[in-house]
Amino acid sequence: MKAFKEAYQQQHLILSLGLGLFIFLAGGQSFTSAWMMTLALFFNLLFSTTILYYLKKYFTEDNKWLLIMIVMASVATWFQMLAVAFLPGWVVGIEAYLPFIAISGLILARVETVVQTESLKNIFFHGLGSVVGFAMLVLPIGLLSDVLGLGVITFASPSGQGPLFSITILDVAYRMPIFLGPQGAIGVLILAALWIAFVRNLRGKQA
Amino acid sequence: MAKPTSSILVLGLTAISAFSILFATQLITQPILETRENQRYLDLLKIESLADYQVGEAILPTGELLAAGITEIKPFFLNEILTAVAYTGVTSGYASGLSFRLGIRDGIITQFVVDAHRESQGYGADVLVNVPEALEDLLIVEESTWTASLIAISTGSTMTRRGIVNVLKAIRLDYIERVDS
Repeated sequence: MKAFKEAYQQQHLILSLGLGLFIFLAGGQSFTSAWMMTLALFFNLLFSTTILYYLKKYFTEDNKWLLIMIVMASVATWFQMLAVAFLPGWVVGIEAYLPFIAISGLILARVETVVQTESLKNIFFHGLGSVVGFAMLVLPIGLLSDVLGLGVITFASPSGQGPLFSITILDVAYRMPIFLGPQGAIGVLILAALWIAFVRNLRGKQA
Repeated sequence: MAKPTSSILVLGLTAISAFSILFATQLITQPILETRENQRYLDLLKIESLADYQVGEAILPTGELLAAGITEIKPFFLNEILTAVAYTGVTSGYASGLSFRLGIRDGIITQFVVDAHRESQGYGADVLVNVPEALEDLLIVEESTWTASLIAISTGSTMTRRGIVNVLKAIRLDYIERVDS
């Protein structure tokens, strides 16, 4: 649990925003995208670190980074192929971005150290902590993007057969295009800034 | 000397294993993606099954068709006669990025599907809701008919209509040329 807490605290909010900006922007466009990106991150971290844990005894100065890159790029591509085939409704708009998780600093910054220093159990909790930290940032922002840009709270069906649920919150006149879809990067960044300020303020008050 | 060899061997084996897993995954997922793609065409062209049809290779447009925003043309043949064509493209209305698909079977517009757009709510976006119905079952060669049908539903959204009309004009010429040839 210590590994989980450490990873969660390190990964939470500002680190996610700074190091994982690319996947954060892709995930923050809607609640469904945020969920899919969180899921993708979880599987990528879990598989990459587990495979690398068993490969670490073969690490040398010459091949270490090449092995890490091969494993991470392959796992990310593998997950993308499966997601596009079996979860088409969840990957709409972000399918091209899924393999980029491999190069995201969110993972690269920790995989090498974690794999070489932690036990397999701790690696799992470390990964889980990172994902929960990332989800804490991206899920509320995805939800707010939907509400402010589309005026709805909605979640797509994994098969792509329409939404699982959709509740209209805002009338058309009050919807803001700067939060809408892939063009809503600026809106996502504004929301991230507000969300981080809110959480930091809350933490400050608790302390 | 043994150490570098082992290092390269591990790297090679890892790369081969990764490639094999990705290749196997592709073999599993490719038929699923093809079936889904075919289903999209069946829905667009309102065909029950592709069993009797010969599906042509996707054609990348050139010239005026490309300028109009068409990105892919997919022909379908019945007894070696061109029977249906599916057009995919992106045009501009009031805003850019109006992504659409159009199906034509036996000269009749079977469906016009808007996949994505950034038209203004209350104006172009509302018009786009009615465009598929306005175009359905009209003859693609009868330009005056579908133009009149579009005008009837697009008061106040001239730019949106103009984008669609430009695309349909280019498709009409292409379709006539393909059928004649």
